Amino acid sequence: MANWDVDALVPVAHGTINFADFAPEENVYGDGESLLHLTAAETLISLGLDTLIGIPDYSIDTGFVVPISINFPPGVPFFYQLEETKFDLKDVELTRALIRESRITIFLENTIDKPVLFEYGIYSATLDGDTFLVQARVEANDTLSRSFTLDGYELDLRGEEGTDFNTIVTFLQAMIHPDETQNHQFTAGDEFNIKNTVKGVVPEFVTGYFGNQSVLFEEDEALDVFAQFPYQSVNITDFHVTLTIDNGIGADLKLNIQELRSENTVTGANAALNHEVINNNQLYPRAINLYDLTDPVKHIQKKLTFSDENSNLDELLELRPDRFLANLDIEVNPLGDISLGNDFAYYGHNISAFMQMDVPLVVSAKGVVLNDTSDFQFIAPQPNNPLDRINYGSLNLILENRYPIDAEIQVYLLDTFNNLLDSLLESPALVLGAEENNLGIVEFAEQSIVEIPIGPALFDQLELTNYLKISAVLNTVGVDSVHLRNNSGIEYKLVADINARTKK
Amino acid sequence: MRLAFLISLVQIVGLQIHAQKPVSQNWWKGSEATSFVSLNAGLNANSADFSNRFLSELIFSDQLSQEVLNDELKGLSQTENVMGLDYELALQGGWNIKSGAHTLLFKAADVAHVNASVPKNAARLILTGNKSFAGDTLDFSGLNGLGMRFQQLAVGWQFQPTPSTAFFALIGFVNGEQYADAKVDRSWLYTSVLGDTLSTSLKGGLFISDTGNVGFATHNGAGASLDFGFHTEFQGEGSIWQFDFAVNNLGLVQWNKKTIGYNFDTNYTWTGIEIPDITNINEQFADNVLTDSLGGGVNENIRKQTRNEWLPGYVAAELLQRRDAGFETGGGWVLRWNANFDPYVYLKNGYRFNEHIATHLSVGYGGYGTVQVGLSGIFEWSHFMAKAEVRNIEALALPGRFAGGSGIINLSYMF
Repeated sequence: MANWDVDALVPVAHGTINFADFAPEENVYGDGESLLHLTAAETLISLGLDTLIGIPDYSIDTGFVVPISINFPPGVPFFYQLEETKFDLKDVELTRALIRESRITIFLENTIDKPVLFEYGIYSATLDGDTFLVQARVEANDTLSRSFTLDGYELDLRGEEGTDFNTIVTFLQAMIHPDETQNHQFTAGDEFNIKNTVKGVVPEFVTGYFGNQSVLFEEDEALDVFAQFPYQSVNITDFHVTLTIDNGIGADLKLNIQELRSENTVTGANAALNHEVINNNQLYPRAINLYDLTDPVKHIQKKLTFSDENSNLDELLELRPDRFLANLDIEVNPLGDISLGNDFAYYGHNISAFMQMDVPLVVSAKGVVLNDTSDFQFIAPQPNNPLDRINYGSLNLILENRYPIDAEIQVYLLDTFNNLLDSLLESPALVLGAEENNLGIVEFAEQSIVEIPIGPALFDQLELTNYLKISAVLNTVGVDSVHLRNNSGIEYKLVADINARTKK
Repeated sequence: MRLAFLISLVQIVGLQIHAQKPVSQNWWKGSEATSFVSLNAGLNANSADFSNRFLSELIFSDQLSQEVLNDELKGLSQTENVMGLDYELALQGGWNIKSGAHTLLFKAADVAHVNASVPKNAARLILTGNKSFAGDTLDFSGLNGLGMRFQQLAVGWQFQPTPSTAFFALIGFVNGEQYADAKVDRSWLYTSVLGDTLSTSLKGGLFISDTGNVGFATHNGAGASLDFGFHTEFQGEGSIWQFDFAVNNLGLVQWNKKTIGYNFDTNYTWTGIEIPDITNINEQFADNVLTDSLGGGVNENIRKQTRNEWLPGYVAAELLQRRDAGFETGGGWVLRWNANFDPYVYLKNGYRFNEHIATHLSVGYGGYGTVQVGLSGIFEWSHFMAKAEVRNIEALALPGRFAGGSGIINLSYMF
């Protein structure tokens, strides 16, 4: 059967490009007039109990050596120790705490020939009125290691006298096990070792005086809302941004935002915020203790508003930031112990700085360069593959643009080392933007057709291609800012216009 | 001009031939009933709409030239371009009972028939693609074709009450080997101006015998056929006029329940693969299963079923002058059913050199073509008869205008 050549016009693909598709769904919405808004809610700072008032891990090692040979009956303590341990919390003076998480490990070593009963207690820790107490039998010439938790225990940190702070009281006792029937003859040098380790204490609640401490925080928060928008720069003309400082700690605070900066780590661009809040002390009254475990704290909030009139925040957003950096100085109890030791903090109720951003996509862009590089793999035409029969032709990209943005586009073929191999278009193609009416609404789409020549030569180049780089120069139509709406979009249709052989 | 010259030349020479008649022969062997065996072999392919030049280049060359393709498209009819092919290889015989008027007949044959009708627009679409129809709706309704191959075993009886009259009839078992029948009653294709939309509408049916059971004499269907006819002679001045009438392959085949049937009546619009997420185009192309809803629609209507199909038989009549020697003349007609075959009429002229040898030329019109020319020769002795025919000489002489090529040979031994 002979071959002959046919001219075919075949749709290949179609779809719609919408700006909303480039951002996570939760970051884009259309308002009542279909105007797209870019939103983001980012917690820039969150300082909790562990940061401000951390209870450190601690360990108690106790050793007892029998000094003389002595005969001792079973069930009578031959070692007793009551001990106060005071945590070093610097200026913080805690009097009470409720433990959320903790881990206690007790290691006991018995070197005599009789089993020993050890009793270990934390007098300061009570749960429903019961003191934390552990009894353990350690066999003759043996060791024992056991783990416990203090979860849910209330700690009275006022010491044995009830007047101190940051102090817990423990007690340790050892005796020949009462089950034994005979006395034991201790020999001088007999030894007992106890090691008690408390780790990972996370309080549910603490109270006391948190001291007058000043902490400098250098916060670095990643921001992903702009990650999908591959523009390099754009002019944002309207935005609504609030920064809410939320105090959930029962202590007065003085906050000084020394610097707030955005940065695009890819381009290196960055900008610092100019606003009255920068380098000005802000006083925040303490949160109110509601004594209700389901909703224990009434937070004190203060909201800072940023606009194009009182700040340059648009500059921070226009550089397509992927991180925000903040230097904050927080001073706790700037006025001293005015609560008389009744500062408090609950787990999960922090000092937070929370930014909410709402940017209506009313933008202007002139000469904005958009670059996007994506992985590409072209499977070369194989025998019996229809692509192998193409003599020549083109892929026609038909664009119906309802955005008021012109774009001059080119697609580059790059090899694995990002070296330029070729371009898909003989010269950059102009995709015309639609005109807005005087209400800022696009009534008619603008059609453009981009012709991409194809043929065996291109297939050879595509086979060597590892990356496709799409480059577009964007210009908003007209002199004013244009509106990006969710009912707009660029409808694209890819059509193969080819001359092909009927057989290889 | 060349055609007219050729016809005139042959008519002057006075040859008498058969043309565009199906392969099978009748049973008349002479004025005395006799026993005989004969072998018929023939191939008859013809089309007035397509050309030999086009078909030979299409089938035998590597590349169909644009010139041939364009010439072919120019010559096609807008609505119907028919081509047909018949093949038969038959062993026939007769046993004359007690040298009387009755003869038992038998026939074993392998038969194939193919015909197709292609509208010009369908040919344009296939041969040039759809680009030239951008912005237009191309109607190529009427595409149809039939292909069938079967084997026959027939027995019959011939009664020759007088030396110049004979009646015959055979009834046969038909083994259906292979079958395909396609009919597209409605078909059109719309190509938008920019090529971003293709819409098509198809209505029709396609039936194919069991594609897993192929090969010579495989059994995919069964049926029966009936042949009957008569021969008579009239006395003329210095000659005898012989009249033959025959009905051949009146019957049908029931193709078995493994026959695949498609009925489709669907409209479909193709605008390309939808890419909902342009940011992930590579994976979407890879994941996109290019299921064709048109194909899906067809698949839903695929079934296996029995199907009855008439054999592409014929009825033919011929009146032919018979002399001891000299010019002979005659003519006839052929009608066929289920064969896409237009009525065919022909004139036969020829020259009988003696009682043993004659040649004939026929010029006919109809069938799968228009004007058709054939040439035959007859060699007759008391115990042996041979006939050879070459048909569609017009296609050999004018390969750019006609398509066809046919040859038949018939050998008989009488005893």
